[in-house]
Amino acid sequence: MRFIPDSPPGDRRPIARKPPQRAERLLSAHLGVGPRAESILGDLREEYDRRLGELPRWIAALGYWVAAISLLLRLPRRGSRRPGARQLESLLQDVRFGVRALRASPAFTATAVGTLAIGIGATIAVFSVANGIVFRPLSLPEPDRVAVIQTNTGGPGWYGSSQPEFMDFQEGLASFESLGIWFAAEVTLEDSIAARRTRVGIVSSEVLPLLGVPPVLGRLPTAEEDLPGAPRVAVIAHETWQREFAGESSVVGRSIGLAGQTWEIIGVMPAGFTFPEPGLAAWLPIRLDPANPVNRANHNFPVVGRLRPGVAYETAASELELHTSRIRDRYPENYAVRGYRTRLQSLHERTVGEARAGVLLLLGGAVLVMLVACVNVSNLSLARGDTRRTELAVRGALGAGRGRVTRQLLVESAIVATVGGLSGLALGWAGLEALIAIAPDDLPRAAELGIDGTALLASAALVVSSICLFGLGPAVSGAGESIRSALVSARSPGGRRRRLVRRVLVVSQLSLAGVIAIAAGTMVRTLANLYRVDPGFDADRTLVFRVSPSSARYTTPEEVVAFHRELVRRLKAIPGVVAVGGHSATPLGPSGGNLSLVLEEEPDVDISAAPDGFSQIVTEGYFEAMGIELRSGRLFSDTDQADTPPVAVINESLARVLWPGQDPIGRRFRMFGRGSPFIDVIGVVADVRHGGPDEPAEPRFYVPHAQAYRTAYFSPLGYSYAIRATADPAALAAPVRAVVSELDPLAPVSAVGTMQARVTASLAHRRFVTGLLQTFGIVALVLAAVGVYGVMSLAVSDRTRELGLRKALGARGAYLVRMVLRDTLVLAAIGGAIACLGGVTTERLMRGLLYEASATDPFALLGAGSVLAITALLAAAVPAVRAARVDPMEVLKTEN
Amino acid sequence: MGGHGSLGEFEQLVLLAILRLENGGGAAEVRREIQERARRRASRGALYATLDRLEQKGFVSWETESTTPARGGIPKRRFAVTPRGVEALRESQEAILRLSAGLTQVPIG
Repeated sequence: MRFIPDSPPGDRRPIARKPPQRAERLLSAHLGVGPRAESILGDLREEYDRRLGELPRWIAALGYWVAAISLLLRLPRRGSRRPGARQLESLLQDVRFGVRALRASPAFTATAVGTLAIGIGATIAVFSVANGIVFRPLSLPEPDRVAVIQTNTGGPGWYGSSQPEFMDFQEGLASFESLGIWFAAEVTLEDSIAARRTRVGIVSSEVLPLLGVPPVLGRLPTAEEDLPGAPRVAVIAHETWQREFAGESSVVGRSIGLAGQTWEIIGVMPAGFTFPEPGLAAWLPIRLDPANPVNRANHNFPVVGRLRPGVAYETAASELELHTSRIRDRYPENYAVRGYRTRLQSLHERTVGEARAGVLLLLGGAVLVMLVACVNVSNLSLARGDTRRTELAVRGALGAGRGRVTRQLLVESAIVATVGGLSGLALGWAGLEALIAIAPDDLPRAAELGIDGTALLASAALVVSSICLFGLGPAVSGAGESIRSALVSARSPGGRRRRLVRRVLVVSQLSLAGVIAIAAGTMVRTLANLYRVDPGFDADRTLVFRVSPSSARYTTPEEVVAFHRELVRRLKAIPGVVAVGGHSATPLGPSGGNLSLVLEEEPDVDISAAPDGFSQIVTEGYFEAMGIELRSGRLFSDTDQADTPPVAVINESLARVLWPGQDPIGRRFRMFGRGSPFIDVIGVVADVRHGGPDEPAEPRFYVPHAQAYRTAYFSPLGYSYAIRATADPAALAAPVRAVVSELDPLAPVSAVGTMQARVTASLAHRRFVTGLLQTFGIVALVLAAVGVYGVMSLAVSDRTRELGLRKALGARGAYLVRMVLRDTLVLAAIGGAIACLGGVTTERLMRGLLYEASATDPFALLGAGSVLAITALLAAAVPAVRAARVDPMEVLKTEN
Repeated sequence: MGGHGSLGEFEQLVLLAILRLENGGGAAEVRREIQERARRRASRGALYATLDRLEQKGFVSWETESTTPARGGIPKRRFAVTPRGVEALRESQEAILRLSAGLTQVPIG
C-alpha cells in the first residue's frame, strides 16, 4: 500500500505533528474557551502525538477525527455562536439522529454497509491493479517517447531485427533521437560462495541513456566500450549492489564475474529500473562491430528508440513504413519472397502486453459488481423510504421543511456511505494484498502495485455517488407527501409505480450478475479446453533443469559433446530414472532458433525463399524422457555420433511444410549457412505445442547433440535436461545436483522443476483471471439474490390481503408458491435476456483470453441463464413459502 | 441516598478510576483505567460528558498542571474526587451491597 510516506523516525518537525487542523478548529469552537476546553484539546493532541509514533499519519489523523466527532456528538456546545454555527449545530443533530435511526434497524444498516463495502472494496482492489499495470505511465522520463520497433520477415508473429537492419534504422529514421538494441540472457554469476544462474541485459551503448534513467552511482558505458575488444565494463542492478556488495559505495571500480568473464563495475542503476525485464542482475555492452555486422537474416535483437521531442507517434510510424519499403527494395535476396514488415509499439504496450486483456476484463467485472451493489443499495433505500413514509409525513406535518427532511435523509445515507466506504477501503487494501499474493509470477509491473491517489480518488467518487443514489431517492419521493395520503397508504407501502421501479432495479441486477456469470463461464470453458489439449508431450513424472558449465573449461565442441555424453551416462545411473533427454529448448519455454533450411532438391534457393524450422538439439533419450511419440521411421540411438552420417528427426508440421504429401524418411536437407552438410531425415515425431496449449505447433527439426556442431552450427554447452522418473520426479532434484556437481563443481544447476509445474504455470494467467471472475460472479449473484429476496418479500407482504382472500376462497398453498415463483422466473428471464446481449459486448473484451470458447455460444448463455434462474428462485423461496402460509383468518381480522 | 442525586453506573466507574489513580489522573489515564481494569469500552465523548456532569454535581474537581511538548503547550487537567464525591460513591456501593446481601446468585464483595 502506498500512501504519503510518513516522516522518518527522528525527523520531528513540529509542523508535521499538528493534528488535523479542521477537526481541531471545529472542536475548539464547540468547546468554547477556558482551561476545560483547552485541556480536552490537549488530551487529544497528546494521544495523536503518541499514535504518530506508532502508526502511519493518515491512521492517526483518522483516529483524531473519530475522537473529535465523538466529542462533538456527546458534549453540549459551550462556544460562542459564530455565523454558520447554528447550521453546524443542526447538522450535528441530524448526525446524532441518523446514527440512532440506523442503529434502530441493524439488519438494514448491516446489509447496506456490507453491500457498499464489497462493491467499493472489489473496485478499489482491481482498479489499483489495473491502474498500476495498464494505465499508469512507465517510470521513465517522458515514457511516451520511448518505443520499440518489431520486425517480420516471414513466419508467424513479430520479432527483433538483425544488426544490419538496426544500422539501417539508425541511418534512415529521422524521427528518432536515439536507437539501441538489446537482448536478455541467462548467465552464470560467480561469487565467493557458489556460482548461480542469473539474467542480464546485453545492451548497445545507446539503450541506457535513451531510457533517461541515470545511474545512482558511477556512469553508463560509452560507445567506445561497446566495441569488440574494448575492456569489459558492467552496470549492475541496485539489488546486485545490495546483495553482492552490501551496498558499499566503493563498488564502482571493483569487478564482477559474469558468464565466465570478469567485468569492471562502472555504475549502479536505481532500484525499480526494470528494462527490458524485471530481475536483471546487470547490463553488459553488446560489443557488436558495426564495421563487420552479423548476417542480415539473424533477427536476434529487439530495437528500442526515443522519439525526438515534438515528433508524433504517427509521424514516426509512417516514416518507419516508408523506410522499410526502401530497405525491402534494396535487398531483394533477403526480402523479395517473404517480405519485410516492421511496426512501432510503445514501450508501455510492450511491457503490459498480454496482461492487458485480463486486467481490463477483471476491471470490467469489478465495475459490474460495484453496479450490482449500487442497485442493491438503492433498492434497499427505496424499501426503507417506504417504511418511513409515515414518520417523514408526520415530521412534515409538525413543521419540518422539505429541505430539512431531505437533509436528514442525506445525512443518514452519508453515514452509511462513509462507514461502507471506509470498510470498502480496508477490504480493498486486503484484497489488493491478496491479489498480489495470488497473481501469476509473470504479471508485469507487479512490484509497482499499490493503492495510490487515483484509486483513493476513485473510491471517494464512488462513495459520494452512492450517497446521492442512496439518499436522494427516498428524499425526493418521500418528503413533502401529504400526511393524509401517507397514513392512508401506510399499510400497503409499495405503490404501483414503486413496484415497477423496484422490479426494474432487480432485473438490472440480475442482468449485470448474468454478464459476469457468462464471462466466468466462458473462461471456465476456455480453461477446460486448454487442459484437454494434447500438448504432444507427457508432463507426468518428468523433471526438467538446466546445466550451465563455464565456457572457460570446455573450449572445443568435442569437449562440450564429451561433457554432456558423460553427464547423460551418470544421470541415467540414478536410481528411479527411466529416461534422460538433453535438449536446447524446453517446451513451454523460449522457442529456440528458427533457422533457414536448404532442401537437397533445391540447392540454390535464396535466403528469402528458403523454408525454415525451429531447431531442437537433443540427446538420444529426449523423446522417451519427454514422452514424444514416433510417427514413422526411427529415433536417434547412441550410434549417431560426430563421425557417423548426419541424421535428423522432424515433426509432422515440418514434414508437411518441406515435403507435402510425400514420405520424408530418407529425404535430405541442410542449414542455410555455408558449408553445412546435408542431413538424412530418419524419423517423424508428433507435433509439440511448444508455446503452450493455445499456440499451434511450429515446424521443428531435431538433431543429435553429438552432431549439432557439424550439422546445425553448434552443440550447446549450457543445456537443458528432462528426466522421466519411475515415481515423484521432484525427489530426483537432489541426486541430480549431486551428480552434476560431482562431474563439474563449477557448473550451476538452475530452473529445476517438474514439467507438470510448467504446464500449470503456463495457464496461471488465465487461471488467475478465471478465479477472480468466478469470485465476482458469486458476489454479484449473492447481491442480486438479496435484491430479489427484498422485492419478492415486499410483493408478498403487499399482496397479503389478496393471498389471504384467495386462500379463503380455496386456493391451495402450492398454487400460491407457484405464483410467486413464476413471478420471479419472469424477472430472471428478462434479466437473463439482457445479460445475453451484454455477453456479446463482453466477448470483445475477452477476445485475447478465449480458447475455442465463446461468450455467445448457447452453452455459455444457457449455463448463465440457469444459474440466474436458480439464484432467483432460491432467493424467492422464503417469501414464497410465507405466501403459502398466509392465514386467511388473520388477514380478514385486520380488515376493517 | 444523598440529596444530590444518585450515581449512574458509568459515573461510579469514572469516580473509582480517579480514586485508583490516587486523585492524580488526567482524562486519558481515567479512560485507560476504565478500559483496562473494568474492561469497559469508554468513548471519549461519554467520558468527558460524564466528567462535566460529575463536576457540576460537585463530586469531582480538577486543577491544571504545566504542559509537555507533546501537548503543544496546552495545560492538562488532573481530576480528583471531592469528599462529597467519595460520600456519594460510598452510598451507591452500600446500596448495592445491601440489596445483594444474602443473594446466592450474585455473590459480590
